[in-house]
Amino acid sequence: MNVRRFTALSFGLAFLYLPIVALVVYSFNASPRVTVWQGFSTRWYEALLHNEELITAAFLSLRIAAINATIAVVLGTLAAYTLVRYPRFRGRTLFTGMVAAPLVMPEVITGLSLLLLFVATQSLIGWPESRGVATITIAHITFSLAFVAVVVQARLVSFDESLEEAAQDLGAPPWRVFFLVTLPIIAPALVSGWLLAFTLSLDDLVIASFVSGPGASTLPMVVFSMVRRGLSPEINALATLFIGAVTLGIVGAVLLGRRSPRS
Amino acid sequence: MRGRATVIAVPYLWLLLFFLVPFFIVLKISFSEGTLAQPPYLPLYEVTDNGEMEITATADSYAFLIEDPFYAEAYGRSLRVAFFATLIALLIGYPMALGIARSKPPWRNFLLMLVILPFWTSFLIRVYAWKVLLQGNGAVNAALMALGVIDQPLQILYTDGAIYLGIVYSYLPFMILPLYAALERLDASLDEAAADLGASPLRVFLAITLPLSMPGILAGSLLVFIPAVGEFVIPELLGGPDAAMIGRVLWNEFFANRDWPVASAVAIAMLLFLVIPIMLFQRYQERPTR
Amino acid sequence: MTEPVVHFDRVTKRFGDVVAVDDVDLEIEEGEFFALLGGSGCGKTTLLRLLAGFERPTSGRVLIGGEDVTDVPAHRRPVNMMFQSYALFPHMSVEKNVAFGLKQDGLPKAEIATRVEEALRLVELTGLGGRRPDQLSGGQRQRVALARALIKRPRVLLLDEPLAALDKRLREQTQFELMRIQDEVGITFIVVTHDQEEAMSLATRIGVMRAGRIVQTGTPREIYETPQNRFVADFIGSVNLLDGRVVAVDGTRVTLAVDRLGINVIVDEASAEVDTVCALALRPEKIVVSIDEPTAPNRVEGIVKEIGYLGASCIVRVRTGSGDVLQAVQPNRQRDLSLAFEWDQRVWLSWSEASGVLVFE
Repeated sequence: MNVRRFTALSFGLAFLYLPIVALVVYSFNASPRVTVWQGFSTRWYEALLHNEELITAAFLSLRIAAINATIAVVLGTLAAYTLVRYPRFRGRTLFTGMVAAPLVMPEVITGLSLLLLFVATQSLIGWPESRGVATITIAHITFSLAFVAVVVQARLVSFDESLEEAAQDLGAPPWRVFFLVTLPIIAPALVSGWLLAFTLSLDDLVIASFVSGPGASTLPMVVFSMVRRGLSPEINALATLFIGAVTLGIVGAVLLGRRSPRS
Repeated sequence: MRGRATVIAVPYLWLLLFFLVPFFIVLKISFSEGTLAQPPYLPLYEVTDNGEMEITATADSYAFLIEDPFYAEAYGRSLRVAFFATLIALLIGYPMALGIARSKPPWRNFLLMLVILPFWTSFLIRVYAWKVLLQGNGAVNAALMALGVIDQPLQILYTDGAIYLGIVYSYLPFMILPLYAALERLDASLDEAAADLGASPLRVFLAITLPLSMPGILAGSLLVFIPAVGEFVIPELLGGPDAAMIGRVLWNEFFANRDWPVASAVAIAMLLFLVIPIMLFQRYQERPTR
Repeated sequence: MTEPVVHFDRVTKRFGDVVAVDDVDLEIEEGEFFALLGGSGCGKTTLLRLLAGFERPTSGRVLIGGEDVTDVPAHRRPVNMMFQSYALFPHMSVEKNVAFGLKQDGLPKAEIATRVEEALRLVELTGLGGRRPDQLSGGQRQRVALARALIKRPRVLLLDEPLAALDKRLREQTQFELMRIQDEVGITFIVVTHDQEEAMSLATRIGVMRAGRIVQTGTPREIYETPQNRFVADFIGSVNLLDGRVVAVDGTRVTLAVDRLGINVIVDEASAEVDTVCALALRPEKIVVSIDEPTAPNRVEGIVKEIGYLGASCIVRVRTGSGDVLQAVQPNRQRDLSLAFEWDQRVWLSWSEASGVLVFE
């Protein structure tokens, strides 16, 4: 690698990682003043364990993220399959637009529009009775399914359709073809799609803030209000846990991917 | 055939109900009159006692956006900030993407993963990290003073500079990925052919690499520019209290002022600004390629 | 007369405005090794896919063993296909791939195991059952695909360009392998190919296709030696086409006036009426090149413009007085040298009365 490129990459990666490293280091700082180093301590992790509000919010977020990811994978896969395999049907242009649009829609608009929908349906049919987990999950599914569709679409486009024909030719009816051949082959895309949808949901502050109701605060909403109030070493600890989990997850995924080589 | 209809219908209905219909509700409410009630807007028409329909739709909210210079400034600032942040992200991201694309294959995936990894950690936490670093007595100021660049702490936090930093930092992976995808596909022998025909490295870059990576440049820029225009968290946490950007304005109209019609009008106007670059990009993508 | 194993009964297939298969009527007998031969886009693959059940005909019927299967979906047809890309399931081992068809039929495990082993032995892949497709060479993959398609003992085995992905050496070897296997299992094979040499050496019968139609069927020898029209003559091997007009008919001896060469050509075993406009199709290897004027009645003089050395033979291109170029192939009977003639030398071309064939369209 030549020197200039190496320098550009190093600076870029340093820029990406310094803030994260700083957070990790500060999370072990004994001082309650975030920016002054006062020696090693794990007190903020203990404080985190006793922060009921944060823990409740974390579990709520994980639950929403998991439900969201699961449903978004199903809907996103159907959407991707439609886009790749059915080149002609009435309303396809609109469909293509609706799948792509959430990718570029500013969060504030998605959040606002869904809230207005929920308000309207509430006055029309009485649903939802109150906003909370269900409305947040629906909102998250709506934009995550678009991301899942993109990931799955990429996999389906490169899918050799003669594999499906071969299975059919050997006596498998259409539904078995899907479960025995199509699904296992696109499975890696479904897993990435699920993880992506999970992360997007876990990460979302703006949309959840719009469509949530009293009593349903997600983790980002709680963190946001903490951050707004001022710096808090507990957030550093939380961030470190987050980074640790993500790193472990990715390293695990890489190792797993290495164990079963696939063309 | 029944299977096919189901496959299409399920996501179709979902998106109609939760994407398209809400959009039209926003459009509708942007033409409503605000009121102090729940919900805080009036219907577009009323049926009077003698059975006549009275139109109460109004473009007041839009007139308000145009009359009050506050909104024009907010839009202007959002577009300006998004534009320059995109440019900076491109200037930082391009050499990185090129560096990854030109490194040896076993390294590429590793480097790419390093670029993506921060994206998987919480966005909010990454923005918060800068809030910590940019404090008056934070690491950035400390480093600058230690290097002797400045004598006393700079006010970086709560300036537009901090917003730029936050946006570039948060969206850099979105710039690098499409750039990498475009650059990685480039045949290295094209460069060699150009060099062989007598082009200097700079000319090779300007005449070959840059034009051929244009799709990646456009895609990456769009992926940074669009969310940056509507960004709420970054100006809220890193910008000054009066740094009005349009995402923040919408939020405040809605949550603080409870003016739903104006918030809706702000949203529609924002969409109009975003539709133009998206359509240009679509046109560019759909033009006949070789 | 037994029922043909495959019968395309006036089958037409349109894709939008494009007619891929145009009113094809074709019967294939039990045990044949039939080749559908044609250029790309001639409809040969569509015809194969119609038989496999991946496409439904726009009109006409498809019969297998006398039974109308036009509306039978692919997974219920007694035919199996070997795909051009092989279409091996990447997430299954070789064994699982080969066993797939039998599993769909719900056969007992023990029987599946025996038959998989048998099939792998047939294609000489014993011991590789545990591998994944991406751990195999191109030739091995091809044989897995073959074993997978054969294991259900279909009435007909369909092979879509079975040798296209192999390199030349392996291709020749595999040709004989395919013939051996067909002999062993006794199943009707239908192969689609664009490679005329492959079709000639593999098949017992060939159907030449063009623009959705079958223009000639026959044994490889019939197709080569007695093409029925200009297209077939030109498509199979190389050929010299001498356009002319019939001037005399005496039983099966026809005299053709080839105006451009300024000669009359005598053709035996032909039938035509006087004044018919047609062409003589003459294979290059049937032409003898000599320096002295030959005694044969069919002869023309010209100048050697090119000699291409091919090892076993030489291609000689000779320009006649009219400017037309004829091509002749001369075997290299001796090692040392050198044909008796050189570039730009004046030579005679001659051929016997029975070596050419008249083509009319």
